[in-house]
Amino acid sequence: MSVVVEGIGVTRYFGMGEARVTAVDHVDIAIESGELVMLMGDSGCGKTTLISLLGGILTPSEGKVILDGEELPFHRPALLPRVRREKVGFVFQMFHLIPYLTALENVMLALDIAGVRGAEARRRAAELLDRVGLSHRLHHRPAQLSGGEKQRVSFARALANRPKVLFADEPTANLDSRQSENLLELVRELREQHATTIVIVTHHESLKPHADRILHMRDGRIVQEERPAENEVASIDDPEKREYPSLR
Amino acid sequence: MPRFWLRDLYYRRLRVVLTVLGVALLSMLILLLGGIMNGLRWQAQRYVRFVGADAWISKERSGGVFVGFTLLDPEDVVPLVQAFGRGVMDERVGVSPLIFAHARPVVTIGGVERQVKAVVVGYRAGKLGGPSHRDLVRGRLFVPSPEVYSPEQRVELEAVVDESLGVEIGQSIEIGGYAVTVVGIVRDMMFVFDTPLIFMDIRAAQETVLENVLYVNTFLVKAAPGHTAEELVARLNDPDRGLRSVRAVEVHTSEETIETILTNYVTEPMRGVQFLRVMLWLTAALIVGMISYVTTMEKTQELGVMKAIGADNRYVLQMVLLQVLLTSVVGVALGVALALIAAPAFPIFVLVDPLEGLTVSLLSVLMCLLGGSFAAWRATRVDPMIAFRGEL
Repeated sequence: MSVVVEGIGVTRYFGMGEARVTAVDHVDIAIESGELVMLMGDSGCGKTTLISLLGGILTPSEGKVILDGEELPFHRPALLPRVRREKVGFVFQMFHLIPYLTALENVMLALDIAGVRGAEARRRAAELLDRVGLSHRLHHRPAQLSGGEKQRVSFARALANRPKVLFADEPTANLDSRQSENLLELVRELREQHATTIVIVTHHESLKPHADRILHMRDGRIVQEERPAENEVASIDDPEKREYPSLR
Repeated sequence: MPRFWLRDLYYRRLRVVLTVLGVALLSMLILLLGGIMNGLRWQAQRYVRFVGADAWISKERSGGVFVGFTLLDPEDVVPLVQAFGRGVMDERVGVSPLIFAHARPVVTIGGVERQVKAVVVGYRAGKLGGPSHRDLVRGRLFVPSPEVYSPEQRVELEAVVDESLGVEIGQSIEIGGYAVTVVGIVRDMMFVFDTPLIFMDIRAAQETVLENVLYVNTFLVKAAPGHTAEELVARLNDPDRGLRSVRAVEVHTSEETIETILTNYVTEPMRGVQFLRVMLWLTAALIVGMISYVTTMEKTQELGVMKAIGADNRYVLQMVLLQVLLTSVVGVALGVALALIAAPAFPIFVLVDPLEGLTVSLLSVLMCLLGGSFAAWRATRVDPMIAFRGEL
């Protein structure tokens, strides 16, 4: 499999001088096409910052990100929105659906931003919502949807422009266990249908079996890598770590 | 296709309605203030254009009959005008004497006696300066005094008045202590600030407003066919060979006379109104700017999410500016409609000029866009990282 997103020496500081905080500290990461990777770690360890950097939302203080073979143009911020709308999909912890738009329109918004409008946008949005099991809720507003349904709309929106990588920030944080399980089932289906690479930031240990790979972060660094299917765990400090192509 | 920026406006409709009403009210005021100035301009020109004279002769350095005080002796001036104007003035019309005097006649309307403002215009029937039979809405012209007259001769005190004075034919009005009978009514014969004109025979005007002094305020002359007003005025004004070489007079064209009236009655007094209009424009821009800014600040997370999912600055800018544009256009259009409705009900003459209305509308929309552009710019500065925090 080919590497679809790669971070090399990615570092991000916040603040200046003595108040400077290193949120992500010289992280090298490579995620292969079609992989489902989970980023785990304590609150504030840099998981969300790392996916923001990899998705071209946040500019790294040091290092570079290569997405789909293209180095992200952080030195030309005006070019980043194109990368975000064409290659990346985001799912947010708080769903962040636009309150005055229906489920269908929320998905169409992502298409509108990418320049897909009219009947084509409507058809694609309806199709995506059908895939996430919400064909009966197309014309409901976020306030009329349950947490699980909102998150499904959020996934449909993230997939609207057929991204190479989908980053999900704590997608199950506001869902109960049954909703979380359903969502992960959906993620697995979507991954199979769309062959999309998925990176999920989560605290939920129960989700681990769904991942191809789990990267544990601490103090802005990736400190451990797990491969549940192979029942392997490698510390980043392990001299044998190079056996994993994702950690260099 | 849903227009997302329209849906956003609908979602915040109460605020949008209030903004539209604010802009509409300000646009209406801007247009009405402009309409008042237009009305004044129209009234300032109305009488001079109606008279159709080419040269207005008044006492030197008096400022002219409309803005200063000028008294001329017909026996002295008329023969000189005829002599110096020979060849360039219209001999058939001759020299028309005119009295134009502000007065405070007492009128009885609805059984109530009250003093009103008016201008008494004294002219000779058949000459320049006042209405002819065909200008009357109803009634008749006053009985003219004889061509040759003396102070002792009895004069019929009759008048033709503008209908805005509110009196009817047969009614008596009191001017300078004299009872004058209204015999005819004319329409749209007003001087600035809605001042109705009262037309009388020159002798009647002399008796009522000049205490029977046989002088007049000004003389009117028309250019002979084939000659322009400028040629006529230049001839009479020539300080070496013209009327000015023998008498202390000044001669102006109608256009110069109108310019003098406009400068004194409209341009200078209306500077404050113009300033007020500019302030109203700024207020409109500020209202739209402030509300757009507050709204933008309120939806930073929405904007952040849009940017996180790929919206570039152009998309965000376009969205906010389209919202501002629609709000302003609707507000201004409503303002124009309100101004057109309110103009006839206004206590003074308001003339809403369609072309000016269009210009004012465009300028108002432009000002609103200017106000909203700061909010639009602010929207482009929203950090997409905000999407990872809080609730919408």
